[in-house]
Amino acid sequence: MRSIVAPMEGKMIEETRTPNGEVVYRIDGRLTASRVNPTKEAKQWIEIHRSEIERTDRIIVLGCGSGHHLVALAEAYPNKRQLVLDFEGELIDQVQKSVLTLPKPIDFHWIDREEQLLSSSLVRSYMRSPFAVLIHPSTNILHQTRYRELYARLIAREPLFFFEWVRRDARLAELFPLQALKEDTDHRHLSIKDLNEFTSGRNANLQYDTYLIRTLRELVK
Amino acid sequence: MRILVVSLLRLGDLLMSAPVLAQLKKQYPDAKIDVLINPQARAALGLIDGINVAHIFDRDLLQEGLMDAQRPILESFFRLDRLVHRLNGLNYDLLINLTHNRLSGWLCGAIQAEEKMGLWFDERSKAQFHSAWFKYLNDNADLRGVDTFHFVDVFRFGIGLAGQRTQVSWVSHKEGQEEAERHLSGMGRFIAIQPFTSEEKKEWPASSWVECAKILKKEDSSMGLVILAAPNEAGRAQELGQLMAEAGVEVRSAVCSLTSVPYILNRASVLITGDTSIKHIAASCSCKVVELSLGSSDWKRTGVYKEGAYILQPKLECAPCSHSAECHKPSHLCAEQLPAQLVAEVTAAVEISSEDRISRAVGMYPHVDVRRTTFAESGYWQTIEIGRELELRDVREWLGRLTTKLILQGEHFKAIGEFGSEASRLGQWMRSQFPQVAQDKWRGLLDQAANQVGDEYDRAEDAKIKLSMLMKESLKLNMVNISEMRRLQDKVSEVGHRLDIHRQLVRSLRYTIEEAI
Repeated sequence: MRSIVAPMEGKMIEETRTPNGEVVYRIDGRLTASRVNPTKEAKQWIEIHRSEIERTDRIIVLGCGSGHHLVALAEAYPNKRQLVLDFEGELIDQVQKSVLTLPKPIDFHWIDREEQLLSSSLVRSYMRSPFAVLIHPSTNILHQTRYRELYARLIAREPLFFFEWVRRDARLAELFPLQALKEDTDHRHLSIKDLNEFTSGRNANLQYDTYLIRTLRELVK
Repeated sequence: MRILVVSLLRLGDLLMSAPVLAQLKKQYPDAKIDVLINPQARAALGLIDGINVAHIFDRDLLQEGLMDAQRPILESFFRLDRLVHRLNGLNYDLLINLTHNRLSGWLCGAIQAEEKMGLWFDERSKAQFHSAWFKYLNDNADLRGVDTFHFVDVFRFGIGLAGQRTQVSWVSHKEGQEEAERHLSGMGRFIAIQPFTSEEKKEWPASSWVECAKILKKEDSSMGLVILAAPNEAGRAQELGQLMAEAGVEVRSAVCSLTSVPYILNRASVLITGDTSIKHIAASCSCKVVELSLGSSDWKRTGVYKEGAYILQPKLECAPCSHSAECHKPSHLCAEQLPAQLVAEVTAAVEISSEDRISRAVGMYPHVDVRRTTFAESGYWQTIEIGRELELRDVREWLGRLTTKLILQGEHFKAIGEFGSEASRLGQWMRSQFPQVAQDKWRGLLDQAANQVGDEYDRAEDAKIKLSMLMKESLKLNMVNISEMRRLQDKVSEVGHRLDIHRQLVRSLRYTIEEAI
């Protein structure tokens, strides 16, 4: 094991090798991937998320880990675009080098401040079409809460996800025509809490909701 | 009793509706009358008496919430929900929608009340009106017909407000009075000018105002001139004042709050105004009013609701133009065709109450329509064209309007309708407005009016033909368009009623005129 990076914010990033010679990184002593067979672990992770991966061409991955899952994803789905988000810039630098040999480039983005994330043109370019958001287990070892919140926010902006809600609720379908949403390049911030309240807490008086929705629709005409 | 009046248009529309609110308060003296208004109309609350609570419908904020990608997608929904929830908690007995657009219709559908008047959509998304008057408003969007009613009258009759119009008393404000006194300090007689409107299309150019002011000053150098302006119009008022000063006309600018306006107008001899909120305030002040109707100003529906005011509008096919569309003429033709000389002449004549002088002035500018406002004996507002002889079209217009009023009141369904007494009132009014017209002329005009009902017959025939075609088609296609059939049947039936009422009115009018003479 060797220390490969100058510490940032007091964190030590170290490189280790598995019995079969694969590189696995540790952050402050904690492994970001399996130290036995990270490639196998990566393929299992992909299997778990297969249905999400297959329904879309763009994938946002939270946590770059040691990069094995990214390589496995690129090899299994060479035509899909990947954007990897991570809070540790130095880790990104290391992982990026290991994926340089891939035929299709992977996009990496270091999250400096969450509130600026969505103003990044790269991130926004992924959000113009349906995208999947996958969270890697390496996010459990550092910044776990931040990753979870980021996940929720990204999911809330995922149009297919919102379309599911709209399909289930005729009132939402009336308020937000699907066509308009598909064409909207600035995805609306969607609060899961609001959606829950809207779709589950208001079933008693659909007529009333229809009145409100129709009033609002007159405002956007 | 708790009443909610929904008025979601502009400040001027709420001020225009003040007579309705005043009469509502008189009819229901113990009722608490709330209003639901846009934020922009808040300024009117300081002037209108009798309002208990004003709820605000923040249209701009709701729109922002819907259009701004950075805001939670359901923010506007929940904001609107909270507003309606609050209103429903107040358990209104009566909801009156004076806005009459789809937005207000849906909103009034959501708001609960024991009784609703004006447009609202029911559970089947069908428009409900409560009264034939509001339905008439809905069905006659292009109100260029001869029997157009002023919005205030539609509201009054639609709500069923009984009796004569109630005079509006603007609320007194010590600060307003003091502000007015500051502006008018040392001023004797003066003419107030309200040149600035909400739309450029409705404005007369500054050069015309300057020319008009010069002529007025030349006519009577002791007459003062005061430019009225809201605080946000201060810059424009200063510019206009400057132009007038350069032309040798001394003028004072009164950049003032709304609460001082009634005091200023009660001191003024005459107000010359475009289609503005100030005009609607002046309707209940002592000053005389000369209204310049340009651009999208629709005097037939929103003219100054006052007896003895004068409205000037160039006779152009495009008038009034649409609010939302830009002027399609190469230049602002209506403003160009309103001569400063005529406006000044009419103003000077109004100041000394000389209609003869107005008639002479109008004769020199036949391309401008000059009308005097008045109220028919039956209570509705109408106008008389100045500067020409009484003609058949005038009698037909008055008869047509009265016929419509009686239809909308449902007089034709009554065993004994009020045709005789209404005709009597109309006859008395006609005689009072045209005392110089000889008996023979009246008889001749009424005979012609009785015979010339061609338009009505044409409409009925047209509807009958369409109905017959529709029925043949339905046999062929094995399919019946019931709603269209009903509409055409109603049309035929309505025309039949109109012709019937028309005949009765003319008969009664003849009798009234003969009696009077």
